[in-house]
Amino acid sequence: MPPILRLRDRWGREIVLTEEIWFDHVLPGHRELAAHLSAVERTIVDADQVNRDAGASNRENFYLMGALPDPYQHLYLKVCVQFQRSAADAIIGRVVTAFPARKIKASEVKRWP
Amino acid sequence: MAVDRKIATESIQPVWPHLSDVDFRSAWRNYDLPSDTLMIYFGGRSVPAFSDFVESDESETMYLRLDIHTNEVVGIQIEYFLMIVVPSRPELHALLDGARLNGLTLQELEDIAGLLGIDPRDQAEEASFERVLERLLSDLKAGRAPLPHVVEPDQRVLAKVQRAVGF
Repeated sequence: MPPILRLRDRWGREIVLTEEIWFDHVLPGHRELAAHLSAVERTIVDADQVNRDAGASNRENFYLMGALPDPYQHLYLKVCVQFQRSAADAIIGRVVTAFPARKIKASEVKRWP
Repeated sequence: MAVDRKIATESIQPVWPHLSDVDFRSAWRNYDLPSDTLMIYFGGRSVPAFSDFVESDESETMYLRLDIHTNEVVGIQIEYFLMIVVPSRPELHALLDGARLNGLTLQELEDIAGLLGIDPRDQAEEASFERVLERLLSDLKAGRAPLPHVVEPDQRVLAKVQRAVGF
């Protein structure tokens, strides 16, 4: 699964998004994100808020308002990332899904800011 | 980027279709294992939209998919579908009937159903995809909570979901 995004978040953790996840898992149900891969990148690098996922302790949700252009610019882009320790003992994250959302879940625990 | 942040906290009134007019049999549905998300679009195909919580849903597992221009409800997005929602409301397993499966085979889906004590072959007529979806949407439209409260995920399903991400 070759990555189409490989970047680091504000804590220096490497996060990748694979072609398979983007084209086979995200875009089929979220057509509004077509041609907006760069918005996913901006959200991870410059998130307004990062929360621990309510259902899985090794997942975090990155939120950035204004990441998507008109007519979605007044919404958050939510990007869910699963983290795991690699064989080389580094923390690596993989994007699981992404979509525009109006609100942030109250059940999530804020990690940043 | 300077952004007007008001709209994200303003209340939005979803515009519901007349449920009796919707042909649920032709609904587009897709289950994705890595995100444990079931997506359903009523119009027979996936369309651009945004996600908004169902206000009555304290479990925060269900989003409405709304048209960005009209706020029309064009579909639903159910998160933690197999690890939280189905263990709490087993009849909702019927929503997987006819869904495209992403990240798992039909056999693997049946194995997960077995873990949860569900036999899809036992589904009665009143538990068909169309009937279950229509009842769920009627509840959501009426403001009835789909799940009573936040529920802990099934750890066996969670393990399968996490492996599907591909580390």
